[in-house]
Amino acid sequence: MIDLESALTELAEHLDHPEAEHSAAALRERLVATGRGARHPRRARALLAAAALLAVVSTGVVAIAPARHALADWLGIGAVEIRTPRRLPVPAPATGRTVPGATGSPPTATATKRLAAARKAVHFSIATPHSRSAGPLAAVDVDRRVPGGLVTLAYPRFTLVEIATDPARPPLLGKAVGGAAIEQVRVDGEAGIWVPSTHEIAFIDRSGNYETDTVRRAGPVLLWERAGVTYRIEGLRTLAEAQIIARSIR
Amino acid sequence: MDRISDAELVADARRGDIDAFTLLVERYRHPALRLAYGIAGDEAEDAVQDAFVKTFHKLHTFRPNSAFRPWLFTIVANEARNRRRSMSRRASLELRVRAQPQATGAASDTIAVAHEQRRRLIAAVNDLSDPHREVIALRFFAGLSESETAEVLSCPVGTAKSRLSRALDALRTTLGKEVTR
Repeated sequence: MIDLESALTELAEHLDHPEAEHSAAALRERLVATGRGARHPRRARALLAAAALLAVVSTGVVAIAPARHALADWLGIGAVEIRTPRRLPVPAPATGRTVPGATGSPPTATATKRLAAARKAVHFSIATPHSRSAGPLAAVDVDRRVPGGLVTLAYPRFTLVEIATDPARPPLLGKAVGGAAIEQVRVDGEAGIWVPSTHEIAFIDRSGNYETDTVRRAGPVLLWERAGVTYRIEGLRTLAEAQIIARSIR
Repeated sequence: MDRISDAELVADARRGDIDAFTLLVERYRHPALRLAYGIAGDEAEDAVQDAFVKTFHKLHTFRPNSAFRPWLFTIVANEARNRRRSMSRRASLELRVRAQPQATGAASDTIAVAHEQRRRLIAAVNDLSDPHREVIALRFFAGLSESETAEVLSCPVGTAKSRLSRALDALRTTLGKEVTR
């Protein structure tokens, strides 16, 4: 005996309708093609500027050791490489060292002040998301040990990491995705990678191995590179949401 | 972060912000697709795409103080009904459940039983009249409340409730002892 109304609600999850995975992108193209609409939110900038910014700054120090490695099936974007081992590295218990994007840092100064300081500390121009769906900037963290600089911008629903990319330098960050699917995508015209499922992320040491004490679990990630900077958005559930943020970064 | 409200996104979308509208689409495309599937079967995806495009171009007619969800689903339901009317092959209106997932071990029997129940239930839904099937799709596939269902059907809440109740009775009659009364 089943309860009919519960069974109907449950049935909705099992309907064999077409899976419209890319319908949002296709629809967006149709809307743009009809010539109505602006590409970027108009109020987003004002919203960001007006937002009360919480003071949260990371004190986590990241040890970076440039890697030397030779993987035949190398897959990656800019300063980030992706590996697909059968066994994933195990996240280490929290230590003083954290991979960018890890949370739990104590507040010490305002994010806006930190952003201004960060702009002086790195060798590239830090871009920020202008979509209103980004929400207010909550924390800024700079790692000066990375050649050219690495900055982590924390927003309420995601973290954005920007890394100076040097084509002559091996990748700094490793992602082990195991059997998880990886989707090659375009991000505002640039080649990108979408890792939709949970995976592991770590710094890579000089021998090309993961520094086991920096391994942590990462959420869905969108990666792309533009003009010498590798961008990495972590935490947004869908590619469509991540793309909206990515397109608004300038 | 607090979720951005529909009203805020609609306000931005009305000014032509396609990104804001895309977020609304993300928010509602799954229930919209299930509703359209309930009404128009295999034409669901095209119906939903057209409905979203129409919604975007009709945003200037949306009353800012009213609820966006039933307004959107009214457009989706209309588009799906139009598709259903113009469909030549009746067969593609037939609803299906997804194939049974592969399973082994202790859980496989339970999964098989659940799949068989869904298969019988969808067969019973396929036997419903169009208005009954539609009210089931609004309430259970799209997950609308009774008042939202009434709004989409442009009828009083009481009328929507009694239509739903008759549709559920019809399903119970088809399914017999399998369901609680």
